[in-house]
Amino acid sequence: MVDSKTAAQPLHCLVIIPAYNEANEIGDVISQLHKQGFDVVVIDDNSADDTAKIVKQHGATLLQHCSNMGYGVALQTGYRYAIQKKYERVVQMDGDGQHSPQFVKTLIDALDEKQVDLVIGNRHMMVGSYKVPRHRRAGQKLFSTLLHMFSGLKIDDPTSGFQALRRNVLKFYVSDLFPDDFPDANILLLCRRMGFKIVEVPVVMHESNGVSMHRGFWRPIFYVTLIFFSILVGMFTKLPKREDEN
Amino acid sequence: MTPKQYILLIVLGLLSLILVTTLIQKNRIRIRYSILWVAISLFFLTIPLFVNFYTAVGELIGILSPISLFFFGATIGLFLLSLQFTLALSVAFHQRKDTVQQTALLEERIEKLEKQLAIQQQDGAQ
Repeated sequence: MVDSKTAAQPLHCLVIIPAYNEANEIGDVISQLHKQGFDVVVIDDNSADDTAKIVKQHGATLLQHCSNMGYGVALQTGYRYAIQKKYERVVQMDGDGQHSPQFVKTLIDALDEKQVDLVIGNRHMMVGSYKVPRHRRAGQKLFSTLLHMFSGLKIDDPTSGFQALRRNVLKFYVSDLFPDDFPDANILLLCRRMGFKIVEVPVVMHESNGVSMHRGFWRPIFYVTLIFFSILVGMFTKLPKREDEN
Repeated sequence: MTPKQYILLIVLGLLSLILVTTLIQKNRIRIRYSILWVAISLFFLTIPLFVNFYTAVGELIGILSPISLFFFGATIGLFLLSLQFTLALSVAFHQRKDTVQQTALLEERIEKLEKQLAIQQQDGAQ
């Protein structure tokens, strides 16, 4: 089992997968990650299908929410687990098959090679990714422009949830400042303000097999408005002192 | 104000007072929130007693009819109440989130400890 070795010494890298009704894909993702030797924790956000059962069958650590709390809260549960288990590096990815497990190592290597705190997988920098629908690409461009305007940070794919983080970022993410209802470009702005070094690396992403949370006409408009507002609020949020700077 | 309006306010005040008291009796509402509703109910009941006062206040801020002043006050009161409940809701969400996350982490720990205990018991039996 994965965690039997954690008792003696802190592990190096954990893959966090928030999951909601992803029984069809999650098993395959876990298998591929285990083949590469990664520890995997899946946060089941109170799925109605067999997600939890499949996670257990595939030998990954399972954290089960007793009620549905949303993507951001599930992610934060994973961060808390990583902090508790003293992981130094973490990769977060989706369990619906959108993020390729083959690129997890690419993200981790980038943390060390580029000496940064946060690495974002960029789906637009590499040929082979699915074609992002125009309206979504427009939303990504908008967030990217806002981020650049307000923080000077140039990120081409700010909505990518395929990321690698160091422990110092994790410590910030488990604080109350983490926007657990919609962690997106807004959290990148806060990271930038905290002084974390952020880079993007090319990854391949596939089209999600699940039901998009941005479906319909009003939802995307509401979401863009929320993130825009959240970015503005993020400009004035009082930030804590970085623990690794003490 | 007309006698009909007085009667309407008193009936409203009595009804809300009965409703709030019943909710408190059944433990369906927290005392800290119920105090506010009791105060509002009593306010309805006492309006007819202080009509002259409300008329004077209304004239001071340019509202001629006491009933209009009542609606104006009610709108502001409802706005402040909504704000207060939004705050309470946000705090409650954070608390629920912490509870759900802690439960998930503890469940995982318990499961692991139970497995370890089972292995130890098996080894002991052998």
